[in-house]
Amino acid sequence: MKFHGTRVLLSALKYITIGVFILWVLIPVAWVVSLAFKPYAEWRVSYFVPKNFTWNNFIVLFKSEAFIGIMGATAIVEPVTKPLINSLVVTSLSTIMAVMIGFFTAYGASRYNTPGPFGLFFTLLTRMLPPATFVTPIMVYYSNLKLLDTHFSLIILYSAVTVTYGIWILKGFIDAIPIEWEEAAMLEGATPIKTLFKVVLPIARPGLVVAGLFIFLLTWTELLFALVLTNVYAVTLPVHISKYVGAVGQLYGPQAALALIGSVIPIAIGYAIQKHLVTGFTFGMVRG
Amino acid sequence: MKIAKVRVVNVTKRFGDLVAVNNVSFEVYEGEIFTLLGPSGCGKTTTLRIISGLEKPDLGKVYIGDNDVTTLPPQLRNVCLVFQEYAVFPHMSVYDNIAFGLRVRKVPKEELSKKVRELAEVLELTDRLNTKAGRLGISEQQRIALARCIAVEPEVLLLDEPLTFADAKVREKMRRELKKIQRELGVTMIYVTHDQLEAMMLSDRIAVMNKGRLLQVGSPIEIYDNPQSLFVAHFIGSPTINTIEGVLVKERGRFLVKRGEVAIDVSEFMSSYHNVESLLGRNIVIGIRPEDVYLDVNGPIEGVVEVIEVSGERLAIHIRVFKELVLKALVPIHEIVSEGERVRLSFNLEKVHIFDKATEEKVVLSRVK
Repeated sequence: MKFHGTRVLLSALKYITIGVFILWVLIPVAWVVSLAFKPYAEWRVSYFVPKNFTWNNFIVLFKSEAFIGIMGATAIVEPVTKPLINSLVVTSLSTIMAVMIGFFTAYGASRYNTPGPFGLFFTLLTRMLPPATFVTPIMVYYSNLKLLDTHFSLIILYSAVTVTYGIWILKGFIDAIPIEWEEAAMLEGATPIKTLFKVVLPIARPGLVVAGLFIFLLTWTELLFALVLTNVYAVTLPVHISKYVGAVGQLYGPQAALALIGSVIPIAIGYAIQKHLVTGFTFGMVRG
Repeated sequence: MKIAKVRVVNVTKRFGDLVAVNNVSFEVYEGEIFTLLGPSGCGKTTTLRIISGLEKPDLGKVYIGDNDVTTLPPQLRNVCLVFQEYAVFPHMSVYDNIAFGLRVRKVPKEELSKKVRELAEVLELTDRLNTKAGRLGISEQQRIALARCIAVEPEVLLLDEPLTFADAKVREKMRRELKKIQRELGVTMIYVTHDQLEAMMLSDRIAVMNKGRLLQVGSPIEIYDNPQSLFVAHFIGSPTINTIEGVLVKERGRFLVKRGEVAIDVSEFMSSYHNVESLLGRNIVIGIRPEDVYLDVNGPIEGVVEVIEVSGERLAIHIRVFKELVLKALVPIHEIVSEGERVRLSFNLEKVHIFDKATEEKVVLSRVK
């Protein structure tokens, strides 16, 4: 009887711990969702479900003049369209670059042992320093090169600091691919380059997807570099989100709405890729 | 299809401290099935990979036809290798797998399609052409790999234990198919296996390897009937050859092989050779295959039947002659014998082999005419 009681207690404790953890993670998310659909009058109240449900926070994101008078003051923030497109372009291109460069480097590291274990470790250097330590020198370089506030500068920087994840994730995948497939291709007369593209690349596809998703998420949410290196033309979504609260006032509603949009996109991509991931994993295996 | 001979000349390959292939030379004739046979780690696969170009030898040369290909990369050698596993490209359909090498060679589409379908027909893959190769079973994968290899019309077809992962029934069928296809195409084939039975059934000639060295090359019958070393004698044949170890001595005009309490009279055999005296006092090993051991009421050796196994049409009888010596005999199945029975044995003297214990080499004796 005593034993039974202990077991119930332990099990209860387990569920309470899990519950607390889930709440801890989900409350801010729930708060953002709730805020996104609340009208101005309800932004500072504590209840979750809006009394007057509204889409207005989403609508105003795409209009600049809509903010006038919303808080009895003039609050102008640029429409979200451009930062949204900027973020999509910069994140996609830098992710593709990081994954492709990562793939070729990882292949070299896996099959030809270049650039050696130390060299490979060295690629992690950009992730070992806090970004704040090198954002200023980079800003000075970019300023001299007239690259500030351009898509190009962000793409180069993002792919450079994320490529190391591409290398390390893909090296794991490529190490696991038996070399016989490449040897078979070469014996069929294929050159090393052809073997790489026709055999290794397709077989490593699940790895490319995993690395791509990971790098996409990192880049999509990056704030510091974008904040320092952009101003008007190349502003990204995280920078834009930060603008709703600050000098212009406290526009919590639109900020929450934009945060929601900003998180829906990677969730959608992750969902779309999921199926692809699973099939990729299974057909790569010949035997267990 | 062009058919080439292959010559391997004094090839040595080291991996660190390990000498994987040690000064190996042999020649494979045009259009034959040549098997590299040996236990795992004997260097047979490395030798095959050196012929394919996937490994470079440290020393020695490889010739395909009359060309020295030692430094040529695999894609320029016109050879093809069927691997033990991971043979097919899992992300491609069966069709694309077979067509791979043809596409690399930029074969026109119609010719390519015709050829792929022909090969699929021969290897019974027609109804699988659109399936992803990674989803198929091991025997189908091996057939695809074979079709892919044959498609590019290699001068030499290399196979590295392709039947290891197939079950016994499939293996038997595949072995027959392989030989049939090889005979139809006439292509030179070099086959690697650790399975002596497979080698015996498939090959025109066999090269037995152990510890990086080539021990003997010959037809299956030569290798079986006339092993040049103890290793070859042991490795070939099932049940394995009987061996009697001991020192050759002459007592009261009789030749005996003695070790501990074991003493076998070999006078009858020795008396038919000239230079027997030179062997006296030396450690020798007598080898005699189980089918050359007869139950014979007048035989010179006596023992007790311990175990009887039915092996196809024959009985494998284990007879304890001494505490430390059990001889195996393969006798016709109608032989009436029971476990625990005392029997007498004799040997087929023509088939007795004598090896030097120290060198493990066959001792050559000259026969009295």
